[in-house]
Amino acid sequence: MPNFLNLDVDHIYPEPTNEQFILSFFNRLYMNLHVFNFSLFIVWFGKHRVGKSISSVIFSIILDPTFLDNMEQRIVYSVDDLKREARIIRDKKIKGASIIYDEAGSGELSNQRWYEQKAKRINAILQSIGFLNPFLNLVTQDFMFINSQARKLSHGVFECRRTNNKYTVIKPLWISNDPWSSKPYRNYPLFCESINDDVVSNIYKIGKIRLGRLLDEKTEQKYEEISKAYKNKLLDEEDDEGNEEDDSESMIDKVEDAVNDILSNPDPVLSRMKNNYPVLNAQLIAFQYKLPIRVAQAVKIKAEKEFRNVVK
Amino acid sequence: MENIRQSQDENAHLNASDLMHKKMIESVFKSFDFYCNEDENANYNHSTKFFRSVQIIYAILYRYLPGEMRVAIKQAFDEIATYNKKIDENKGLSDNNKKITKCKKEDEIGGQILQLCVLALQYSPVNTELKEILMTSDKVNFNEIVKKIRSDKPIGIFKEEEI
Repeated sequence: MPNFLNLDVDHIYPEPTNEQFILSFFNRLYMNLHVFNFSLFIVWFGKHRVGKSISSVIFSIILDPTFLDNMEQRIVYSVDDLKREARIIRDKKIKGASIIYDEAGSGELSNQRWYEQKAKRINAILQSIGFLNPFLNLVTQDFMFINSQARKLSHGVFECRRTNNKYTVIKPLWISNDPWSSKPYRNYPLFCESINDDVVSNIYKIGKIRLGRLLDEKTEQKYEEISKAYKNKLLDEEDDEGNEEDDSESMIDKVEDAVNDILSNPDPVLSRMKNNYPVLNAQLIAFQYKLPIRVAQAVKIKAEKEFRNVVK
Repeated sequence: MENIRQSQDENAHLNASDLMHKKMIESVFKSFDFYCNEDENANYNHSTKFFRSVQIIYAILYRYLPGEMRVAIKQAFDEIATYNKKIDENKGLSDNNKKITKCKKEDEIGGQILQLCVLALQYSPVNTELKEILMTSDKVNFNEIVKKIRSDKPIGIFKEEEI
């Protein structure tokens, strides 16, 4: 800005600096967690190797002073581990503790596994965990990979991109839910300048955060080790899937047993009679024989068919 | 009927816009004291203080003014600069007279600038700017900035908009 009449306007009203933006953005998140008693659920998404997990680790180190010392435990890959960490946080009374649920799109939180009991459990946990003021990071490749309840519970969606080895570009968006529509809508984080709450300035939208490799090598390596241990385990499990046939055979046995049992005494799972044929309840079958609901549905169809054959 | 409705809508928009600008102008005026107190050389007499205030408004508004308004205000400032130069060259007058004349002129043009600034504010929308935060190791010292961020009291010059 030019100086008129030797007036240094930059001194009187300087342009906001990059550091001021950083401090305001992160301090606001820090205060939300540690002062205002909020929780913070962030979904990190982006393609492979763009730096989602590392970015979530950097955010966690910034916002949670206890994270770095407990990094190995705080990066979790299953609901059981998440529950364990939540219990530890509760017992130690840690406010604003960060937990990173890595590969959330492939675990029990996966959209494809919404019907499982574990999915219901984790949704219940996510809904009630707020009193611990956690900073929960769900890392996945796509926002739609995690189940709908977890999506609705999240406060922000951070999209990650990377075009070089120097930094990851994060697009931070807050999301809100419209009760009359299933789709959430998104907002940029907005800031305006304020001195003694008086000056109204331009409205600044935080459109991107260019996050460089700010971690020291030791911490980066530590994360890689944790991540690799899980991924190797996953690969080994896939190798074991040669035994899938055995599993399905045992499942067929279970179905046969259940059908035979129902044929001998259908009362515990009977819903009603229709044209003298019993109509069975799949949920009751699932409960009675401890079967997944999709298997219980197969048992229901098979048993009902058998009943019709017997009556004929 | 439709025209009436349209005109009402337009008025509603104008009223809302006026209110917003009034709020903005009030807040800018309130901030004078802050800036004047901040300035180390704030020993002005009344007239110079007024002119100083106009300069400060200008500094505050500069970033939000449309281009034409900036040009108009710059011309007004230039006019003062030229006039001051002429006064300085006029060695025939006593010091007291010179000061009074100078201040009078400053008051007059300062008032015009103030009007221009208020007008500019009234007719220019609040800008929205998309910012990119750079958090790379060549821009910030990570450990130091983390220490600053972990403050239990708000830091930085921004507040989060509640929209």
